[in-house]
Amino acid sequence: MMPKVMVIDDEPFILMMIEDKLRRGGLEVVTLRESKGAVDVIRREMPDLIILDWMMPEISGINICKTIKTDPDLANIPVFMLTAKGQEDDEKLGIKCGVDRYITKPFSPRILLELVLEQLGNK
Amino acid sequence: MVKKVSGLTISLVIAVIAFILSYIHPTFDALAISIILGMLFSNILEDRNFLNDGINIAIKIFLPVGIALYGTQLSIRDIDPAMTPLVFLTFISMFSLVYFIAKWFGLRKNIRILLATGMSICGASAIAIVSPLIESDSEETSISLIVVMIYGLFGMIAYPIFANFFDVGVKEFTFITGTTLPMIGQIKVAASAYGTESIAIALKYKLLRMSFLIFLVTLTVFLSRKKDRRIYIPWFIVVFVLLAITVNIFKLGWLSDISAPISRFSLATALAAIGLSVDFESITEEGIKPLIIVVLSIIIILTAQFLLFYLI
Amino acid sequence: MFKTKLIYKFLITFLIFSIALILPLSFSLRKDMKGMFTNLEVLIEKGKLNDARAIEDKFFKEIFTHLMSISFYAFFLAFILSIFFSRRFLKPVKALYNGAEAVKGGNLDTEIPVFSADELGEVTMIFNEMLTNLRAKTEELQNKDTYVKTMMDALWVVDTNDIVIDINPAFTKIFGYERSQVVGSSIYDFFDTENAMVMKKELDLKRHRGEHSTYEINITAQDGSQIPVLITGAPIVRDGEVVGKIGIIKDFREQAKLVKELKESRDYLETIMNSIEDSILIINNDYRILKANVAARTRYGNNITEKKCHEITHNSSRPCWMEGEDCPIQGVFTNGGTWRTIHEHYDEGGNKCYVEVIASPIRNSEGKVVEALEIMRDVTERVRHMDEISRRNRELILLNSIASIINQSIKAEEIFSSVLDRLMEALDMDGGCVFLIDDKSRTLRCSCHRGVSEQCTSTAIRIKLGDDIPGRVAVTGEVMTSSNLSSDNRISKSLFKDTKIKGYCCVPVKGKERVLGVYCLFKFKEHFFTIEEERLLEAVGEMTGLALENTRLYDEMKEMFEIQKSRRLQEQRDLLELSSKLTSARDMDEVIHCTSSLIKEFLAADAILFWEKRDSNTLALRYSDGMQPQTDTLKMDEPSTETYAAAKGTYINIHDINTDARFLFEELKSMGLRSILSMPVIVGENVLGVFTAMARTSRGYRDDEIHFLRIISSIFGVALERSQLYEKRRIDRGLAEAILNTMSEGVCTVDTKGVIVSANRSAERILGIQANNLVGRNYSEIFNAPAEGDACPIVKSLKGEKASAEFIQQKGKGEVIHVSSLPLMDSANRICGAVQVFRDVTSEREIDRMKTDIIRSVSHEFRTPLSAIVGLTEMLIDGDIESERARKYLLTIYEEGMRLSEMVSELLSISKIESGKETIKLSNIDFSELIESVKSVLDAPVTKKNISLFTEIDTERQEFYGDREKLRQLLLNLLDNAIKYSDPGCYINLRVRYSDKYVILEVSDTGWGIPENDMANLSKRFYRGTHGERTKGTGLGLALCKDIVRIHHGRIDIKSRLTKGTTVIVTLPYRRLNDA
Repeated sequence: MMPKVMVIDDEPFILMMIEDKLRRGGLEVVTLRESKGAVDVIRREMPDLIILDWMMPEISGINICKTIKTDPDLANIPVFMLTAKGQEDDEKLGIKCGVDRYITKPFSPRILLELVLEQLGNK
Repeated sequence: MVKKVSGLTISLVIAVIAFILSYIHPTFDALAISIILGMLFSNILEDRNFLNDGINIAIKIFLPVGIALYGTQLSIRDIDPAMTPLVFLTFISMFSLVYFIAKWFGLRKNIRILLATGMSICGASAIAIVSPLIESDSEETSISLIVVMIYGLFGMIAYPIFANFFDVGVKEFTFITGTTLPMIGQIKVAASAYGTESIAIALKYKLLRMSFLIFLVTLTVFLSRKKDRRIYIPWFIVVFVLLAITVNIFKLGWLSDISAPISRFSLATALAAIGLSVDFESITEEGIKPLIIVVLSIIIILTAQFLLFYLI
Repeated sequence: MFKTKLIYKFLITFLIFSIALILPLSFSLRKDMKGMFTNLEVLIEKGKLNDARAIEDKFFKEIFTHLMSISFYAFFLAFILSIFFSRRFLKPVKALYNGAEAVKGGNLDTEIPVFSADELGEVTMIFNEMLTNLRAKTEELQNKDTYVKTMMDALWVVDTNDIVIDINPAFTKIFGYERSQVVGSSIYDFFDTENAMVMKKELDLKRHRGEHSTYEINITAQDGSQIPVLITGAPIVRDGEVVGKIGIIKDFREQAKLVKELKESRDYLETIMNSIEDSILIINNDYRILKANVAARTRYGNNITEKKCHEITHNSSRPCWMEGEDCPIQGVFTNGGTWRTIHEHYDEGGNKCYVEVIASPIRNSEGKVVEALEIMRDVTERVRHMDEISRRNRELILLNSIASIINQSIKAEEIFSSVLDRLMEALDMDGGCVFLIDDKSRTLRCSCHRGVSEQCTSTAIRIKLGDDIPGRVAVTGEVMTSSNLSSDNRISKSLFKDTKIKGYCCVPVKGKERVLGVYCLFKFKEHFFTIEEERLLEAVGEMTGLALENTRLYDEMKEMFEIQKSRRLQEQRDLLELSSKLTSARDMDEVIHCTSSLIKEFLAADAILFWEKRDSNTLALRYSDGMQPQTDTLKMDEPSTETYAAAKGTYINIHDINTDARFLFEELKSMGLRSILSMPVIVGENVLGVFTAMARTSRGYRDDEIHFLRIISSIFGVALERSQLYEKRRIDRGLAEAILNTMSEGVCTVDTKGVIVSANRSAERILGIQANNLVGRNYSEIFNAPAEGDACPIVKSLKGEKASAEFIQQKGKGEVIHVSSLPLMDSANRICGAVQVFRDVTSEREIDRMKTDIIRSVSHEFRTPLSAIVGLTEMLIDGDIESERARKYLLTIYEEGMRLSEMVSELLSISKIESGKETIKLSNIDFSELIESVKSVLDAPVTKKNISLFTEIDTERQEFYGDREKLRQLLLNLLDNAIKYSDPGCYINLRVRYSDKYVILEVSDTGWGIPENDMANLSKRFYRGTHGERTKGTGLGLALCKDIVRIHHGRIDIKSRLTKGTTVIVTLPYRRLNDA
């Protein structure tokens, strides 16, 4: 069975880009455009990895990450934070909240794919 | 276990000694002796806490048993019905006199009840029976008992002398002796001065008085009732009343004879145990007041009785 | 009343017992026995008991039975009695016991009740008494403990081995050691080695003798600092033996500090005294110098203290007031107050100098004058200048008066006698005479005289030329003076030698070409004629000569005189006017102007220049009229008539510059000038400047003209010099202040304690506090804690560092003030204060903040579109994407690229407006035209979305001035938003209304509306709200709109309901064209 990656971002082209790239890398991709109810979707889908945008309307990515990491069922799903917040403090905050990898925009889809595969391989 | 046994054993030993001593002379009341022996013994011990468990067991077992069986002692045999109201009057006035004088002297309620009971009914055994009902502590029980006892002994010696002195008639003397002296033994000794006939009649009065115990027990239960508390009648009182009724109705004299020593022994044990738990220091708390009260009330009663007889 | 004893109690107890027992017993026994005997008798009678033994048995048995009951009664009685009576004994014993327990437990406030008056009662009472005593003792102890605890001074108790046994809390407070740290350690642990040695020595010496001792010593506190203390030690003597010692340790920091401060202030005073250039002496009422500052020591020698002041300053053994001087010291001591005078003193070299002496009293605490402070300022220069000025003034007045005499009269005798009077008066002479040369007899004839006896005059009425002094002077034409004629060895024989005349001078009266006579002045005392006086006399001689000549030539030159009369008169008047002007005028330019005009007019010159001598090597042009030379400075080595005249000190006259080869006159030639005259202005030896007069005609100046010119120039010179002196003084004083006050930076000076000493105008402006409110206050009242940097720069700079920091003004609008502070060093390189320079950097900080703000948003907001561009491009480069997909990618890249570029341009607009660089370009706005232009741009999306766009403009229009480009941008953004955030087919209405004060632009749509939670953030940069997901945009549009409206001084209001639509109302006030 193909590993399942879930991407949550409010920018449609980012979703499109990541979806295309990850599909090509042989992964199953679930995308979600809004953060509201994201955790429910995660529970339902039980993905192997989650890529999150930080700045989203409704619920911010960092809050979703916190929810995931404090839920014992979901805590071991790796979370990638994909964000335009490039400052060091932001990254520290992200890591503190349990983000497994912190990727700043703009990013290379190729490297993202590599990182995702590496993370899934480790698992 | 050792603790329980030690207290119980000592109580029993004291009871046995008292019981044996009581056979030497009619005035030697087993109950009074055992409580005093108990007190004397426990107060020479450096640490008597090890006795506590046993004492409690002894009280728990022997007091109810003694009280219950004491029911058989209440027989209303051969009573002159004419005398009954007079005896009852004496009893009631005695009880209330002691009670209110004690109150006037500011004694505690429990001591008041116990003193009144002891004086009006039958000394040691009545006190022993009433004490659990009003939940008096051992000091109250023992002080009342001793006071009643000393009065009884004094009366036993003094009554005949006074009777002689005032030239009291046989009938009157018998009545006075039977209705005012607290213990059977003392009545016997005192009444013997006027012959065996007198003894028998005095004892009859005494028995009549004892039968008022049933009445008193119920009264006490109500008197001692504390606020907001349901009236609580322990099982042994029920048995006591039932036995008393049974014995009197079915004339089971043999039962009385058999149960009398058992009852007395049980009560002696219980009182020994009570004595064991008494501290001299706390006995002295009320001082000489109870004695004065008793003397005062007895003087009033006696005067009243004399006057009564002279008027009649 | 009665005293009970225990024995009575026992007695009573046993009595009660025995009575209670024996009474009933005896009765009972009697009765019983009686009964028994009766019984026995009955029995015996009945024969039942026949045996004596049996009787006995029976009897005893009966007895026993009776006794049994009695014994039981006895037992109970004994029992109860013992219980009740024991209570009577036990109660006090128990109370005692409890009391003792309580005392043992530390509670001393127990009072044991006394139950009886027996021994137990006594014991109890004694116990109570004991307790009371104990309590009192304890209280006393506690009080003592409290005293010790509340003592301000530290205290320690030390045993014989110098081990601390106890301390009080003050010890902890002062030295910081806890009690547990101190107790058990040696006292030497609290001293450093040096102090420990001192202490040990002291202790060894004194303690064993059991003496009290007091010593000052330093104790090391816990934080390591040395605290100066005064330890008062007293031995603790017990049973006649010293067992320890108590030390009361007084904190001497305060005292030490005071001593230090005293020293510092003394040093400070010394420094101040030493830094004053004037000599300062402190003198007691014995005229003895107690103290002298450096200046005084430099001036009067190092070892002047303890000497008398007059010895030092007057070289006199008596106080100066005895010499008739006005002694300020004496004044101070006799009258108090400050005295000021100018003394003639002698410096080390014995030279006479003038000293201004200011003496002020130094009072002791009772207000009595004990010493005098004398400040001596060397004012020799000043006095000299003053003298000079007054002398010049005197000379001028003299010359003036003489000139006026000459002017008023043409009779020689009258002139002479008047002049003689004036001269005598001016020079304080006793007499004088005037001799005129009689050409025919070649003799000098006395024409008038003063102060000489007739007899004398008759002999000396005629003197041959060459004979005697006047004769010689008349021949030589030189002034001759003698301070003491009788002892003058130059004169061997004279008529005046024997006439007691001592001071004497003889001055030639010079005519134009020859000596016309002489006049003499004399004094019966010695008189030394100074050069100035000689010069004056000479000038007077010349003047009188001129006047004499004039009178002489009066007749023969009548015609000429007639012609020149007016001019001469004018000349004299001018001269008079000039000299009176010069006497009074202070403004040099005016003086120069007057003089120059006078000279120009007098010489009928075409041009006049005045060159002032700047320094030894330069002449600077001060005044020019009629021509403007190319250079305004001349070096002394450049060849010109001016430099020549200045160097030589004489005038130079060139008749025709075309024929003169010495100087280059190219410039003058080109101006058509032909003759030139340069006249130096000389005072004494100094050349002060040069007048140059030029004419277009070739001419030589007559002697009288030159002469007049010379007089004018010398008068002018005096005035110039005086004016220069004034000028110099004024400039010196004003310059420093002027520089400070014209600086744009605030400057403020504080002393070492931080008290503001001075502040310039810019400091007042920047701090917003008047200078008189600043000076004298501590800086900490003015400055709050710095916004950046850890300490106040003033504090740092007072420690000798350079420092700077930024403060935020709290009183004002929160301006940021940059302060840099520098220490001020005195001559001994010690810090004597600090100088602060303030700069208002508010606007710089504001611009900085805005810059970072924009950079931060940009770097953040640009990342998202950049992600698309970078990521999708990378995927395209990696290839293997079907064309449909690739097209979509490229489209996204394009769109995001456009968004990025839009963002950049809008951001630029915003930052331009915000930074204030963008100025508003006002023009009359025709909104209908503007709306048409906007509508044409939006045509495409409007038709695409099938939107109905209505416009409505009031018909009554008014002139509205605004920035067209910006208003267009505003409308474009508002309409674009309305279109963007609406469903196809919706309605948009744009309305323009002209009210009295405002133009109101209203854009309303029936679009999606704005959710309430977005309202607050609408005009934030890059904020895109809930609908931002559905549309493309930058999040800068409304922010820009807001800025545009702001620079038009208008306001923007947004009303919106979700799903119903949005209305944006922009209110712009009218403004005139020149408002911008």
